Amino acid sequence: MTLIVEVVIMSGAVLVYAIASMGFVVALMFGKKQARLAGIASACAGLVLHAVAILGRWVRVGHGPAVGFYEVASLLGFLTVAFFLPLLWRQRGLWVVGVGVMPLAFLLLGGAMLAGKEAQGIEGSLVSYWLGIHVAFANLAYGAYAASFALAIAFLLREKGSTRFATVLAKLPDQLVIDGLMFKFVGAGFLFQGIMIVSGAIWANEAWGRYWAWDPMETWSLIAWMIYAGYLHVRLTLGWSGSRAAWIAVFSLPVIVFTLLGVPNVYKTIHGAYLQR
Amino acid sequence: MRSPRLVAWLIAGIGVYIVLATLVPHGSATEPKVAAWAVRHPVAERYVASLGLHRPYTNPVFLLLVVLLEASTIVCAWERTVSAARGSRAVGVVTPELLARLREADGRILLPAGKSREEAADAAERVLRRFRMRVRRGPVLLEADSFRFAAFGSPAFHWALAAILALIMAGQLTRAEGKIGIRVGEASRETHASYGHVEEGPLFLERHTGLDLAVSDLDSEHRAGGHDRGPSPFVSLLREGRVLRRQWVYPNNPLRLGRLFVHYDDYGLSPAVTVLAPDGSVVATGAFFADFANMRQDGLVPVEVTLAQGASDELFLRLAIRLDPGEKPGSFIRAMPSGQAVDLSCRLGTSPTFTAPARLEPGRDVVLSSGLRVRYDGTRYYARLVVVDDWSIPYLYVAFAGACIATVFTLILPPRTVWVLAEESPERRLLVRVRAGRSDPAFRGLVARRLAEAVGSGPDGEVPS
Repeated sequence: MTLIVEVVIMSGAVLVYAIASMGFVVALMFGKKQARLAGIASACAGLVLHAVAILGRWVRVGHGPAVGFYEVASLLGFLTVAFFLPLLWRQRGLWVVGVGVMPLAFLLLGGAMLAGKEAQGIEGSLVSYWLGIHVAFANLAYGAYAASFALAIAFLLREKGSTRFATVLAKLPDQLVIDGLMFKFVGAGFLFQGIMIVSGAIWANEAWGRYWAWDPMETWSLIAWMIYAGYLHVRLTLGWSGSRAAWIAVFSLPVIVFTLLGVPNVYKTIHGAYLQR
Repeated sequence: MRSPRLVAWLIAGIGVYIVLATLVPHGSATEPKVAAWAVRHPVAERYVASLGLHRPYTNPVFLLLVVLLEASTIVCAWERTVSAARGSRAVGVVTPELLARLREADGRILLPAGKSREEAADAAERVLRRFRMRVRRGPVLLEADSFRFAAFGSPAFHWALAAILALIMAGQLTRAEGKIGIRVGEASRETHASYGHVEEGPLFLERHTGLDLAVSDLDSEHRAGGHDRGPSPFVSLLREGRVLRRQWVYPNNPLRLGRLFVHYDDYGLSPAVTVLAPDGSVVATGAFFADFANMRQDGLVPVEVTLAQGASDELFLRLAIRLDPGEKPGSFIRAMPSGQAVDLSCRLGTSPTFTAPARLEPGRDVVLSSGLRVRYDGTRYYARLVVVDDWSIPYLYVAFAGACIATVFTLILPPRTVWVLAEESPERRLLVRVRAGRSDPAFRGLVARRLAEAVGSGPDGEVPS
């Protein structure tokens, strides 16, 4: 697949994600079933297009989406939808979560499209099997946290007892189920992020001779991990659940997004060379 | 130390401290970036300085928080271990306390008329098996559990966390890390004096290995496994001339021997000189390290050194190696120049000025006013290696792996236990007790619903914890 074909397919995915976002918003605002179905169908179509473009690029450049802002942000957008759709498959009532998830995926992929798309070679310290492990778990963690964020939004919307969306919110699964799912996704994200940090530390030790150097990226990963550790701690030991836990999940996701995409643009970091290009 | 709230505050405190630390430049107060920041933010600087945020991770405030978290984690891990062990011993044992709890509890399901106790117990067993639980049926009580071993996940995670923190602290106190430059074809003994720069933990106590580190080759464009690995030295570790280990060293491929890790850091040029007396005897020798990073705009890589040639006098040398020009105008090739000539100027300790630079080929010399001759012996590559002496790293990896595995057990595989007692009383009730973690809030209600459906009744009370 050439770069031009890839860009065309990616642009198609951006467009379809935008349609999906509008579909979910219209469905929520006006209670239109057709809009909801259009949203779901567009999200599926966008995910397929996105997957094709990612795989095509993978084959062309010879490595997975792990280097440069374009690849990283695009993959985060892909995973946002890839975590959302299976969740929707299991809990149909959770379609309302798409109101938050699809615009997020649209913004991530749209942002990625603004960055340089030239193939970046894997060389020097990047030549390591730890690259795949580290990046894969970073993305899995992000996907799981994004799902917990979306569930937290759904939980809080219903908790607030919005009369405007009462019909839609009534179709959501039981609050206990949403709360449990939210916890499970935070737990999975915490585990994935832990593995990401550990694999990064081992890799850094192999590549540079130190496992931890308080590089801004490392530091912010630790901060994000500690925030989610706090979530799990207050939930498991102090019994916090429901709204309080949901608010923590809502406020934690921006920290993760900032860690993955913002830190290289704000701080001088050794990771910047891999994520900023 | 036992308070969960204290732990929450400690996690929050460490998190906030780290976030604040990311907002300011790090280093000593005299460093330009730190000093400039202090001038720009005089009010904030007072608080930043008092919290030690310019050197945050060695500051007593931060270390105190970490030590408190460590102590709290150990206490927590111990309590969780005792609790899990107690729970594990209680499985399969029908105690009067358990029966009393079941009878006192309000988690009960009324049995419909015509449903015998046996039938109710059969139905309950089927339901619990569908939850993939292991069911034990006694004469009085039906007990089911799943992922019982996972009850030890949380204590194991906390022990692993405590071990990680302890290992990091112990490692920092007892490790050494230094940079050592070695000319190609030469060796250097791993001792304190050999390092250009070395940081030793307060409890390292100069326990250097005394092994010889030799660099026999340096490939400026090394390829391995089909990938360009960049400049790579071939490094050997020797004890009394016997090679213990040797390999090409490049990123992701350090040389390891026990607690010693040898990493590649950089490479440069190393010119060597010999100082000869008028009678031809060798007065002093020296090999010097010139870094490409110091290259001037005219392509000269300078290096300035001092040679102690006797008790009373010193000899100052300035050498400059001229790099070959690159393809673009004004660019130079960062590699061994094709001709190895250097510009050399000298100054004896007693003289106020340097001699005019003399262009020397390898083997040629300059004669000083004192009759001393400085001979240029040629230039080779040198490799700068980072040598880390840290016993804690493999143990840290084990603790990391333990923490990850324990997290899986804690968060993904929740331990569950259900006791069901079909009571022989006038009310004909199925008494249910469920024990599941807070990570599993929906399980209690789900069990109650499924059991009620299975026996053809409805729960008349909430299933207790």
